[in-house]
Amino acid sequence: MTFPTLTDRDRRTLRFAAVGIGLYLLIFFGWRAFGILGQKRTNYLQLRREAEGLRLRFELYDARAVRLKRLMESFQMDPAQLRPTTLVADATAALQQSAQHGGLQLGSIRETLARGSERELGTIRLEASGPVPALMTFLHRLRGLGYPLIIDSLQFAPEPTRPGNIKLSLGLILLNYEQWNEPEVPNA
Amino acid sequence: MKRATLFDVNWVVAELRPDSFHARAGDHGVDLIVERDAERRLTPESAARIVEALNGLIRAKSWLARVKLVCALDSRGLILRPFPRPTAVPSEIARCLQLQLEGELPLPPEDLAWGWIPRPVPDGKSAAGERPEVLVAAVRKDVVVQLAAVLKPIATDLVFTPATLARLALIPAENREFSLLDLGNIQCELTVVEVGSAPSVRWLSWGVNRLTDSVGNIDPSVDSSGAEEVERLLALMPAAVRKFPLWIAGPPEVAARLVRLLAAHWGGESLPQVLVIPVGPGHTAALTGLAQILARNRPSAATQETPGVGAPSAVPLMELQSKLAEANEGGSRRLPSRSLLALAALFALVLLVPYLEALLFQPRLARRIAEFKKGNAQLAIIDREFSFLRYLEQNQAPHLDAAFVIAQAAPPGARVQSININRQGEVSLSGWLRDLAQVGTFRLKLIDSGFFSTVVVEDQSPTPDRQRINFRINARWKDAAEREALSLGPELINSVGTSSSTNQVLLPPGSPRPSPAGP
Repeated sequence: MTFPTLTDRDRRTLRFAAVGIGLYLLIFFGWRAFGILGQKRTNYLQLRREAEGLRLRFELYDARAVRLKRLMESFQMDPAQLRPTTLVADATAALQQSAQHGGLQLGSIRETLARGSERELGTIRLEASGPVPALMTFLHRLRGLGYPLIIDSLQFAPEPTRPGNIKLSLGLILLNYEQWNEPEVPNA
Repeated sequence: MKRATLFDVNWVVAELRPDSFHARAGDHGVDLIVERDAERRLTPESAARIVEALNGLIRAKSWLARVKLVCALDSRGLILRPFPRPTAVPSEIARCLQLQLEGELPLPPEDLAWGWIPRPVPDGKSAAGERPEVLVAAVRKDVVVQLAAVLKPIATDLVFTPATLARLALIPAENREFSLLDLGNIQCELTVVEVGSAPSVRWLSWGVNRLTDSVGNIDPSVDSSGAEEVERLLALMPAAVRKFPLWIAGPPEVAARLVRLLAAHWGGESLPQVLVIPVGPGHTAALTGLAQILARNRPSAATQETPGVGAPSAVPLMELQSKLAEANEGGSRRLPSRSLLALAALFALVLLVPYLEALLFQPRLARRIAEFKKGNAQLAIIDREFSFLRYLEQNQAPHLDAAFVIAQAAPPGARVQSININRQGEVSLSGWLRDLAQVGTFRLKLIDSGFFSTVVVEDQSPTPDRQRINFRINARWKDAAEREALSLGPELINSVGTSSSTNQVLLPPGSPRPSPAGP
């Protein structure tokens, strides 16, 4: 099979045609490819922004986790481990044990269930008497007792029957972790 | 078949003779008469005509292609020398040859335009221990520089080569020893190729004009007086030429007539032959040889054989360069467009990097974000526990601090009978003091402690026997943020100014002082 010899004019025409077709294909497919790549880049940038937001959030939670650990150590308590069904009984038992260890004489103890706020599981009112150091020690140890107790009211009064002793009337609120959803502005 | 390749190089071949200029580009050619000054330089008018003619050729030939101009130079001042090929890496061969040229040639290499090609080995084999040779060609640098100044603006690449070596490419390869007579108007160039030595070139003062009239036609009287002219030509030739085949290149009719005339007086072993070259504008033996050499260097192009002649000998293109760095083997010249291509590729890469980054890193980033989102449940637990414990901490009322401040502020002899404290920060205390002044002092000290925001004496009344004053004080402690600035402890003791050992809070008589830190 023989091929005709190409003249310069033929070559020039072929070059024009090849360049034209090449440019058309380049623009056609290049435009589409550029659009696809641009879309991918837009998605990627969106992901990067999302990742940056997550990174900042996790950095915030790193500090928050440290503070949470300190609080748990301070209160000797893990809120997730609290059992609401026996929480009042357990707290009362712990209060009694702490008072007796401190040399206090316990008087009446009254428990009441939640009143008003869902955040409160119940209240405990107790009376105790003893020397001032023992009373102060008892109050000081309430924080590390392992239960979410807040002192609602406190009254020191003389114990007329026992000279040197003081009578303490204490009202305590027991918080309910199960009902805890959002933070609340503190009162104290 | 000849295939046209896109962006193919447009080769333009040219030959500058002492009195004429010839050029070809594809199917187009041009012949010009040139004039030279007393120093044999081209006159400005001739240079301008050459440029104009070449531009016309390039416009007719070129479209979107690079123009390479190969210009063959006549052999005036040409030095051809064989040298042993240096045993060095190819990039260092030119430098080694330059050192040899310094010792062998009368001019320093800096004043020369020179080049080299490997010398073909007879029968393609070299004897054992025989060192391969290279053929070095050199001319004065001025010749090349002057011509380059004229031609460089036309061509993207410009190569000079000896016309003699270009003509040798037309001689069939089986002729190892031969002579080539290239006919000029008033002079002719004789090249003698012998085995074992470099081609020798000499100019003979015998031209075509001895056989033609003033307009170039064959002079009818030549046949009668031809013997005389042939005898003169033979006298100019060395005797050794008759031992080899003689090829005559030039105008076909003149060459044929000369061959016939020489045949009667030759007396050698083989009769002279005409070296057949195409007829037309720009067709000379050197240009035809150059075209063959260039066609052989293009792998896509078929070898063009001269009609009536056997397979041509493989003579590589000799490039005469004026700089050492350019005198490399094989005529492989660095194209300036490579750096542009590299720059363009780099630019394209820079443009594509953001998109490549998206393609490469998006899957990994998506995986990491999914992992982060899995940890969101853990974050909710942390939030809830933290909120709970912080609430618990912020609602721990400072009962012990309040008791401590009251104890430190109580004046000597004071008796506090009861203290009531609630979660909202209200403190109520009652007791008795010795006089009214002590009540005021007690209140002032409570205020000065900085712990309470308000201190109100609700009642201060003397007993019936006027020995003491019963009092009842209500106070309210400050907010947690304000209390944080206080230093409770030794600093507070100093601030309230209590130093007496009699300063004590008397709850029931005989009670010890409360300690804020506990036991």
